[in-house]
Amino acid sequence: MGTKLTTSMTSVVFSELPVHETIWSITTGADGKIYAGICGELTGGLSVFLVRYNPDTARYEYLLEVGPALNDPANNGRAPQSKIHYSLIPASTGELYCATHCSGPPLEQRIWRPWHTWDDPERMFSGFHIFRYDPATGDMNDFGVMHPNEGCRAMALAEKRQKLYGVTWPRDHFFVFDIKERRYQDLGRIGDINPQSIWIDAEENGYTIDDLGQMVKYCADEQRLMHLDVRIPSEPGLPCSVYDTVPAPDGRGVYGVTWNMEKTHSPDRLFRYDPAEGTEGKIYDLGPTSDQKALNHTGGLVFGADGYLYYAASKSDRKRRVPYRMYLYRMDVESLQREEVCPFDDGDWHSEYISKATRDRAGNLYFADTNNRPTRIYIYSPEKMTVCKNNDCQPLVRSWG
Amino acid sequence: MMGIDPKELRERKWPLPPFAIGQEVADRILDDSDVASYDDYGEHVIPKEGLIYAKLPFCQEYPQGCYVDEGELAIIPLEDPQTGKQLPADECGIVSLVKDDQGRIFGLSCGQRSHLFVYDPKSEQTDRSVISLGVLDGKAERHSLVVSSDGRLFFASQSQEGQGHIYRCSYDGSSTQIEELALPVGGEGICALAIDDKRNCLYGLSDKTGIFFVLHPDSAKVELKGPVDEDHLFSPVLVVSPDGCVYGGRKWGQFFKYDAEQDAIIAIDLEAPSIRGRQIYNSIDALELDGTGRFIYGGSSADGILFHFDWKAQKVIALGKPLNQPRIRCLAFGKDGCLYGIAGKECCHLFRYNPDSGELADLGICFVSSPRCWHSYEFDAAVAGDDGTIYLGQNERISYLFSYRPPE
Repeated sequence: MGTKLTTSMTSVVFSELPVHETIWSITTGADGKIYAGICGELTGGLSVFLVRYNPDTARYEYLLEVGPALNDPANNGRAPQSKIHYSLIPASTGELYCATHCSGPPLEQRIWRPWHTWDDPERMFSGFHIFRYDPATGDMNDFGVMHPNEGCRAMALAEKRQKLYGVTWPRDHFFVFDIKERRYQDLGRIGDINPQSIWIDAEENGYTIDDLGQMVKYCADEQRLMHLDVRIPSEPGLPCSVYDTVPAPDGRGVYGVTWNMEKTHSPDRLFRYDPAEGTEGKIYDLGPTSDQKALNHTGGLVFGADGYLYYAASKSDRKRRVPYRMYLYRMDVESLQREEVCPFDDGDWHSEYISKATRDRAGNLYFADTNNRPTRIYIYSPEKMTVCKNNDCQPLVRSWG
Repeated sequence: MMGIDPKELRERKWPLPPFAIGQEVADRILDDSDVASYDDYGEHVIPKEGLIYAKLPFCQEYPQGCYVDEGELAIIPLEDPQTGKQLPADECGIVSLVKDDQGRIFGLSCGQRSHLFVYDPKSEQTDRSVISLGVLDGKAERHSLVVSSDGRLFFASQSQEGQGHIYRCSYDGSSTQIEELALPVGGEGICALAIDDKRNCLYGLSDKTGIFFVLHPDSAKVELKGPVDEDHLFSPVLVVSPDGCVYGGRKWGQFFKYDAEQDAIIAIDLEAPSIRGRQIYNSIDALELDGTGRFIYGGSSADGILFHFDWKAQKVIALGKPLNQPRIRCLAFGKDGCLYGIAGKECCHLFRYNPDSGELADLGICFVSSPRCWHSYEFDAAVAGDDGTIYLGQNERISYLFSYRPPE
């Protein structure tokens, strides 16, 4: 702790995809490389691309155009496989588990909503796929369409149990996919507006937060959902869920940030959840993510090798389409002291919205940008770096999206 | 080579974006609100000079265009008055609604357990909340609830353990008594129940083999009349016509009637409408007698076609298909003389049929933004209140009682 601050950012710009504008998913594979889904949700007829960035060579590759690979090309008139949202997850074997998502319009359409095209065979979203991709060989194993009309907003991997837990959009159903049995189980809706994160504990129970701020647990042994008497810090009566979570460095829980759905003026707050405390676990309110009182956004939670919890929080700029400028903060989770580190500005563009983050083995932090063309990843290098040897800390960041 | 050649991507002709985002934006037109929304699909941004965008028209009505926007929709939480908490998820899916002679709305939920509840629109004490009258243990998928003209309540269960019970319930406004009346068909649940006030009897269908039965509530005597279809294919609906016959569906949406005078189940050579060739997928989802007593309105499951059945003339007329989905799940006549119903499988819409004009109108998806944002995707029960409000029973893992007040 108490390290000196570096106050500059670099970036990787995916200029070969000039129209794609969002990166919702970013993770670190078992090979130490950075993987991301380059999404297109504001221009019709775009498929998500899977990319790999090699921190050692500072080069990136386009691995997969997902829609055509799933036999659902983006120009077929239907809502395309436009995103991998918070559903790009590294397995210890080196493979990646992915679920696709929708909301990008069909080709030559300006806007699309799933409710309006439900069961319309020409315009509907054919449904989200879950697939496994081996970046070492390029082999893809498509497990098929899970549910027509619906996308997957967030997913977690319970690797020992060989199961994936996720939530669908728009109906907000919790699902379990049994990888071995290739069986999809719909457990029903958990709310109305999706959570943006699902995480697991050491026993690989699943957790998320409904849109009233209440914790929902998937009890893996009993194979059922439970609504716990545990709430994240939020104002009662206002819609609130979770945006991002990362495992606690002590292995006993997670750190997370609330999501005000960018509808309310309640400031985002950091929290810690220890599932083993008490009968249903305990939430600790760590306070607001910044001094912002206005509508705000916080994302990109990641622990640095220096022990700080890094995250991206917004300040208002109402001249912009997304009315934010994003800044990197860090918090000492022992003292709860936080400080602003630097803007998400690579000299070319000051980010409007950061979604999620990851880190590499050398300790560099990677933040996924959204709502700009071409889209990019911001890289921040804390001064104190720790080298993590091959596979001795897998998953390096988390086993959820 | 693994992956995609970046040269191919650079040379590819990409779709033209429809509006400016990010660093393409020169300025923003602020509206009156203090919240700068960005889910505006470019309506409020001014692009930098020289940038070209696809000329794709933006329909302002599109984002909200799928929702019910005429009349008033509200949600009524199913709260347990003892705890003040909403009934648990997995127990609150509403599968049956009826109105008694005092205008009170009674309902039954299903799931891991089932709850009998009442909502009294006239009572200020209820404060728009629902009073739970009792709990049925055991996992259940469907229940049927009927009320007699003198206010006696009866309900039948279709539980996973298999054995269906019929219960009688009395509620005096403060206390509830539930008593088991009969176990009509051994090893089978009950998927449909109807009441004939004139004859003071209940009619029902067993859920596996479709055995039609008559229950005399005063004596609790059950008469089994046999299966309505030799192949045990039937629809989980029954309705009693003014002449005392009971109508329902046997295989493929074909009608049958039980003639109480003749004490016979009679196959009728008429069927619920379906798209040609899809008859074998069809059954009857809902049946509702109109105010004149002449027409039985119904919906077909396979293709979601609304129809009426003129039981006197023995004629079925297809009235239209309100949605591009299968199923017409529930129906209720409003005070305005219109028939309201729910169509659809996973993304249901409310619709209205006006028998006078013949207009069949899709009213949209039921969504409310207060006290919380809430879409309803599935409903399985409907009943009209005395004041013309239509009550709709949502049937999902987390569910509410919806009230819809049509425009004056």
